[in-house]
Amino acid sequence: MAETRPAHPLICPSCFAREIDPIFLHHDPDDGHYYCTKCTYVATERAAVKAFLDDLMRHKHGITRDEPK
Amino acid sequence: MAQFHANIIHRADSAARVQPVFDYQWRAARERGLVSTTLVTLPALLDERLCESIRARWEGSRDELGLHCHEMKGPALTERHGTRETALWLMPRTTRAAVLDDMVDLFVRRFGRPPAAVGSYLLDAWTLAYLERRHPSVRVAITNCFEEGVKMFRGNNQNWHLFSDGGPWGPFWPSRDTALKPAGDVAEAIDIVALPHLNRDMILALASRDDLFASHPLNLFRAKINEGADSPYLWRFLQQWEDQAVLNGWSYLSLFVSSPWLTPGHWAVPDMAHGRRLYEKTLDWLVEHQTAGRVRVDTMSGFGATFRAQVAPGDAQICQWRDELRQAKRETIWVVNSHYRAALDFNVGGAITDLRAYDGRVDGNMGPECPRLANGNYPYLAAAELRGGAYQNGHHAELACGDARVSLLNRRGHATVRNVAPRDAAAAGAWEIDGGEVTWELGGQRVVLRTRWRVDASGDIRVERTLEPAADPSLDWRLTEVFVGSWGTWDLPEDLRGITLGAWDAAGGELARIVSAYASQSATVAGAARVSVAVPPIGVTLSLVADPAGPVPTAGHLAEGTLFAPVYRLSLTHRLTPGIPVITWLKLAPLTP
Repeated sequence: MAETRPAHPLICPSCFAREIDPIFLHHDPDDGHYYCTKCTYVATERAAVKAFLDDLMRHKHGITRDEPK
Repeated sequence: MAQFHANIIHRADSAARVQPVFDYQWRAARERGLVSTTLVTLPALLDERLCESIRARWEGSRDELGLHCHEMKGPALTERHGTRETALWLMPRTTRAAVLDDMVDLFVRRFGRPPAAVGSYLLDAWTLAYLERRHPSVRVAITNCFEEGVKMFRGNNQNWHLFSDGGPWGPFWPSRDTALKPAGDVAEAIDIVALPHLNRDMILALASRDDLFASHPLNLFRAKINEGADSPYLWRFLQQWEDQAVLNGWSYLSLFVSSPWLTPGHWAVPDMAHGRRLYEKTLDWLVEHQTAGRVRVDTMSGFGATFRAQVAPGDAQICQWRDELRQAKRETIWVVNSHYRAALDFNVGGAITDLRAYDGRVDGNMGPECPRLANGNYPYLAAAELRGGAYQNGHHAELACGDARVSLLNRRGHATVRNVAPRDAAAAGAWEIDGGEVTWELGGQRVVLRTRWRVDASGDIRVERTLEPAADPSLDWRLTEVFVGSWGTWDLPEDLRGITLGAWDAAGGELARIVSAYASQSATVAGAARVSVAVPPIGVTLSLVADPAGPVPTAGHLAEGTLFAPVYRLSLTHRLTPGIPVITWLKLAPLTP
């Protein structure tokens, strides 16, 4: 059954940012939101994906030759 | 009538650069007609000129002066008392006593009377009992920082050795045995009203660092949840503390900002003009609410006297907290009495995710003479945040139909709390927590399950779950109440050897017993009416007990922890009949030899 496990394989971007191993967001069928059972993160699916991808970017940050002079 | 109380507390430090800031704080409160309490530190007491200016401002006012046991540093300590231990509660006892005697003596010389109010970040039972015995003028003290412990230690880059996890969040009567435990009766209580250092966000106290989310407007800059000189979160936060008075008959707020936090250049506040403006807005909020009769701003001693008149040792307190940071659905309900402190997290279906069992009266004294040294955390039986999440630590339940099974952790819910014994009728406090109707799909069926908890001043939590009458009665519905536990004060596992799991039938006959030895032992027994765990290191037993008036459960299950999964597990499985409630008691008691 869908409710016996996280409904959608979305990783919590807030826990990910704290380098806590994948915490999958749970789906609330009442309002369609995705929420984390560890921290207080809650979002729509689109926002959760965007936040996760934004956080992935931090691995790429650093001094680069493309920085504005 | 429910009353919301507030203290405005300042700290008088000796550093020259913060003295004008302290003036600013005092003036800001007084110009608004707000009474305040100023706690004077040891270095400040040694500064004659500073004390003269404090005395000049204090005389003839309604404000209060007291002592603060922080800023213990410099010659005041090293030369006068021969220690570099800056935390009073961690000093050797002879030094601690000498410092307190010195401070009281200086206070009397400076201000002409002994102090009634004392502040610290943490005070153990030994220190409080010393103050009670040696300095009986002290009637109220700031004794603990709610849930400042493991998570805050990690967040502070392992650099702030203050450990006070596991105590009450609000004012309480401290136990003579261990100061983070509320006393059960007058004989057990130290005759000093214990206050929290700050009010905390009661969800982020579990999910995050609660020093960043507290009744301390400047810490909101540290958390970056200000919007310039404003923080909508703060107004919602304050409102929730006012709301708690409805459930308890009273509520308390501590606004305590020490002067360094309002001094330009503080590392956490990029623009101090914004910082001071938010501080002043908080005072304005109190003025507005006081004018409307919604809050009573008092001195520490004034509130302490009110607390003495209204709350007796042994009373319970409850707190229902919404997620005000994200303004989302998450809710946590906290209950504390002299037997336990529990957090019910409705983000995971009302599971008890943090449980401190106080009946073992674990010695919480600190200092070099004590085995605990600096660790003042009261041990947990379950702490999901520290030990693997709600599936791995805490109380929850599973619903099954045939081969299909679902954990009630997998749906967030909403709770309604009802006071079932108004404080004028039964002062100890009793509440029903209704988790409402939650719809589940399993075994091809769509059914509604409702859970109600009842909590009061006893060590028993009543859990009632009812499958709605519309469910198909011909199916094999089962409910399993589960407790997954451990013990400890940190996020690392402690030794589980010697922890004993047992199962008994309704007549009290023993059905199974497991003494933990990391041997992968488990047992499933039919007809168990009670399953228990005895945890000698913290001196308590926890039992899941089927209600004697109900049917006997179909099975009890026990499993010891392993080294790689160091949690024990006990459960009771009931057969569910639609429309008929199943009642289980979660009982905490002292471990008797």
